Amino acid sequence: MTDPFENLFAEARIEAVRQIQPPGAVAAHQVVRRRRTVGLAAVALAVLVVAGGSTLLAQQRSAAPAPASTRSVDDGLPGIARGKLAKGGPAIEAADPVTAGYSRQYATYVGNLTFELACAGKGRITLVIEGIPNKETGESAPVEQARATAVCSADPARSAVRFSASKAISYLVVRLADGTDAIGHAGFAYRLTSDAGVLMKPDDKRADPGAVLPTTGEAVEAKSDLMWVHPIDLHMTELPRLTPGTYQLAAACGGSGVATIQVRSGNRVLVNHDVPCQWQPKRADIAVGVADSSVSTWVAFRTPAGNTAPARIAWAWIRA
Amino acid sequence: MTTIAEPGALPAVHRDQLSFDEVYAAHYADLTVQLYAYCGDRQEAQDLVQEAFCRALSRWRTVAEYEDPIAWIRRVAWNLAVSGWRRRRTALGFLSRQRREEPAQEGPGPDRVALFAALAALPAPQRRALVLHYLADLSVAEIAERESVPTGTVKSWLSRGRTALAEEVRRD
Repeated sequence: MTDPFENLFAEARIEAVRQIQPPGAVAAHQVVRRRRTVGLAAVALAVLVVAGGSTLLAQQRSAAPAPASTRSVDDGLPGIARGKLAKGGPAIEAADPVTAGYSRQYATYVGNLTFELACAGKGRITLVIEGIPNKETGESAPVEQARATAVCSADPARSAVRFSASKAISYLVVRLADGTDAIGHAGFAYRLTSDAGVLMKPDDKRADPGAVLPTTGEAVEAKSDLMWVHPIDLHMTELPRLTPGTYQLAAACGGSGVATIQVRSGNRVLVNHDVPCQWQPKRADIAVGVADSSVSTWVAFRTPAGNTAPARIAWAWIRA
Repeated sequence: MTTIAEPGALPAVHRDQLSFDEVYAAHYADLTVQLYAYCGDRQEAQDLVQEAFCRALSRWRTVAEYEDPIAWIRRVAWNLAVSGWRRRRTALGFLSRQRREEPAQEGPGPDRVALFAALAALPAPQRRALVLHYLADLSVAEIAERESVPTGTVKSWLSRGRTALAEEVRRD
């Protein structure tokens, strides 16, 4: 006897395969290469830390004085550099002499981040912003997020770089990657701001679109997990069966850009609604009449040019 | 049908890359459909399968020696699907990944929506058994070995799964 499910699954397979767009074997090779590089970098870093620690210990034991060059920096140079950067608003700010091994650690923040740098004095410096992966990733090696270079001068110019911290990062480290000729001869200042307006850590409730959606007190029939979406992402969620009737689809988006929420029943589009993404996310309510139980919710995300930060979207179906 | 190049047929590096690429090209879509049917999210399924292939590639010399490399990749993908990796993945760096732009207007057809929605309503073991049987073409014995259960249990999962699925699909 013919199994009726054979055909059903075979047809579903054919149709589904048509929609699948493999990232490609080349992408897999790139990922594996990157992971190997990061692994090797971690080993190299560990060796450097051990070697550096031994050297430091030896220096302390011999009570050697600090290199004269680090003491000859004009204390005013960092201040000059700081004067070239923007002012006001919530920001991470630092102004220091250029010293070997300079490194500072900060929290990571949501949104598009701007890192401004200026350097007063002589030489040239490069600061690298690295992310330390959170424990959930199972990775430990720092991952470069951005870097900025500045030529040190008596009248420094401001340079700026825009980036967004990967979600896998638990904190950021600003480190002097290059600046040998500026050590002892220059001072620098930097400033980190977010287009979110305020500096919000990823776990900040103000940045969480799910926090503005109902949890109790309303008849929530289905709810999404918090979704991180990038400009080229498209998310589709097939809902659990909904009883036909009238619903409110509550949605919120944290970020920059516009999230388009589309509700479909099969190939029929029931609703196509733009939800503005903003910091901090606000709830939008969309009325949806559901006549057919097989409803799916799609989310697409458009973003202004230059935006690299993902948006965070959440939605909930509420029985009206 | 994918074949792994015989040792010595090509220089080692070329042979390894060719073999992986062939296996990838031949099986990525099929594996993704299976995971899609199981977890109900195509993008998630694509990510799971890509990650499984990345893990296979990182130890490809070993995996390629296995009698059935694709079985190893399938197992990894499924393990990822039922493990906490899916949750953790949401915290991972999407920025470094390159995704193709996908057509925003193309939705799944009603039959597939109905079938996948019906599958989603089934208990996980039944759903897994049906997907592995109908989409991965595994026999009852192979599913039993994979799931570490007696063949009778798999037959029971399939039987109950079919009944429940028929019920669900009829409702649509």
